[in-house]
Amino acid sequence: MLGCDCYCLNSFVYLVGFLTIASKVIPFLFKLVKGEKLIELQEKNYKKDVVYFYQFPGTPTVSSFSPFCIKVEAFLRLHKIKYERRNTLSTRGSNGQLPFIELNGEIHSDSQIIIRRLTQIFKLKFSLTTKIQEYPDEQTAAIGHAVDRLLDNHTFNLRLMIKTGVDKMIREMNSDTVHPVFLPIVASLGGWYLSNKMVNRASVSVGKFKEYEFKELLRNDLIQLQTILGKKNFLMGEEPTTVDCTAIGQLGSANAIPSSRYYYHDLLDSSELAPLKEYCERVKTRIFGDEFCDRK
Amino acid sequence: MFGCDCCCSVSSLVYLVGLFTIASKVIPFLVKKYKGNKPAELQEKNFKKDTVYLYQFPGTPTSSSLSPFCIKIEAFCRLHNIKFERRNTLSERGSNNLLPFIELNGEVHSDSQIILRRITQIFKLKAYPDEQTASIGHAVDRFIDNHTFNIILMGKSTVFGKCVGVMAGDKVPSFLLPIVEFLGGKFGGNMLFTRAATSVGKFKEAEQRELLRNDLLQLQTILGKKKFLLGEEPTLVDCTAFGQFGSHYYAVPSARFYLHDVLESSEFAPLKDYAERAKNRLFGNEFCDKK
Repeated sequence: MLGCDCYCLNSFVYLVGFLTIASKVIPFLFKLVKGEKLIELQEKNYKKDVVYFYQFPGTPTVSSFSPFCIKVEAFLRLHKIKYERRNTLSTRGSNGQLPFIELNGEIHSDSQIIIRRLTQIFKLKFSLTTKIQEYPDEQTAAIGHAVDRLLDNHTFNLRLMIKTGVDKMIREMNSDTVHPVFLPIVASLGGWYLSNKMVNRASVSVGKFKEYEFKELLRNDLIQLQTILGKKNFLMGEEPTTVDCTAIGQLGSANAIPSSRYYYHDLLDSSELAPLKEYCERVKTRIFGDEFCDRK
Repeated sequence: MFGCDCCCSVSSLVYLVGLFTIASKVIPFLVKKYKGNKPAELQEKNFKKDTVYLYQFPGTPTSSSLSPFCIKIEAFCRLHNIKFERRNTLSERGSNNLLPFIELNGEVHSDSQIILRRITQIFKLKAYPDEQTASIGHAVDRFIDNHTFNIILMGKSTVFGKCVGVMAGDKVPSFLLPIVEFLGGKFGGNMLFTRAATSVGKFKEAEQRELLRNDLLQLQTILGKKKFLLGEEPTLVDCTAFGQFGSHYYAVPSARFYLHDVLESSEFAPLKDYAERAKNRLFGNEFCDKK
């Protein structure tokens, strides 16, 4: 009897060993065979000076689930750059992530790099209509950059640590592609898997915190942002700049699924942070008008 | 003969890998279950009142610690004349499984951000002179620790072997050191790069350099003509900035990478002067691993 159990156990160990080895060897061989092949252009017959913008889809209340995708679209709109959205779940940029853009036959990945490239590419010295300046002067650019990184590399991760609502997000993203019978299972399993992945990513990025600690840090981030805003219309002045695009990405993306509320929404709805909430609305209206949604 | 040897070794290997993988998942799980959520025991049982016991990675002759976050905490304690005692360690960890952590009046605090908040609250300090400065300081502080740090890590991962060599220097016989440096460099370097890429994104080498140079340029612009980042006196964010310079630029002079070339260029002379100024102001001549 025991001998029989031992045999099953042995088979299990072999299976685990085999799978572990396969999971390391197969991607390695794949990479070796594929080599550093350049990613192919999606948009073969592209129009000149039009940005083809590949992003995660949105909902009726946000242009995309991803704050980095919202940021890039906001930047395009702010500077009146012609663009076309390409919603996707599976396509990825050269860094394995979204968003990425195609512009005049070139691919640019990573939202930071995309914005830098757009600024460089559209910078025509003597043409006032197409010149892009991220900020009005160097000092503002320096502070703007710091606030931009606070939002994207710190505040973003604190929000990721709050695990609620991921299953609802998966359900929404897959409502057209998965049969309604399977949707709840896909949403729960997917939600559990993805929210764990998000928390791990956030922990690597900013540290491991107890719940009351990351709530404390998130509240502090929002209060500091509000202080920086002060009495101004936008973070750096009376006109929006790049960092406002970043802010609407991080702060606006939380409203993807209005029924999915968590600590972050309670903070923004509190009287203490009313100015910040008004600011979010102001940015949304100024940059997106009434188009801050997933157009079908 | 060949068939037999091949089969036996391959199947033994598969079995071994299987055992190892299972053990690497099951053992930590069992340890965690056994340890439970029992609060971490105090290391310093007979602690002195209002003295910060700083548990940190050891340093080198040119740095108080190898870790920027550990340097930051010590810099902050020195800046505010808080009594502290270093406790160098390689194996101790805080409740978040990381270093630094501190013990203060019988309580343990982990994570450098949380530690600084608690020290500020407990000793009723002013991290910044006013709210507006505090908000800019906070943005710059997070920019340095959550962005610049990771971009630097990507470049540092290529020379990490030298740092491993320094850490292992007196614990390993000298003939083994090149092997330790090589393996530590490969393994540790990969881990560093993966951590950095998870945090800020995957960048090609040219992009890493572009982003690092831009970060340092913006920092230098924020500094302007001032002595310290936000004024004529150092504040919390100077401790953060110096933590990063200390760890990556000063700690292991032989581990040179792109950061050194940039900081030593004429374009960044003001920033380098600032780093020296912060070192002298915050540490005097004690920016080293005292034995």
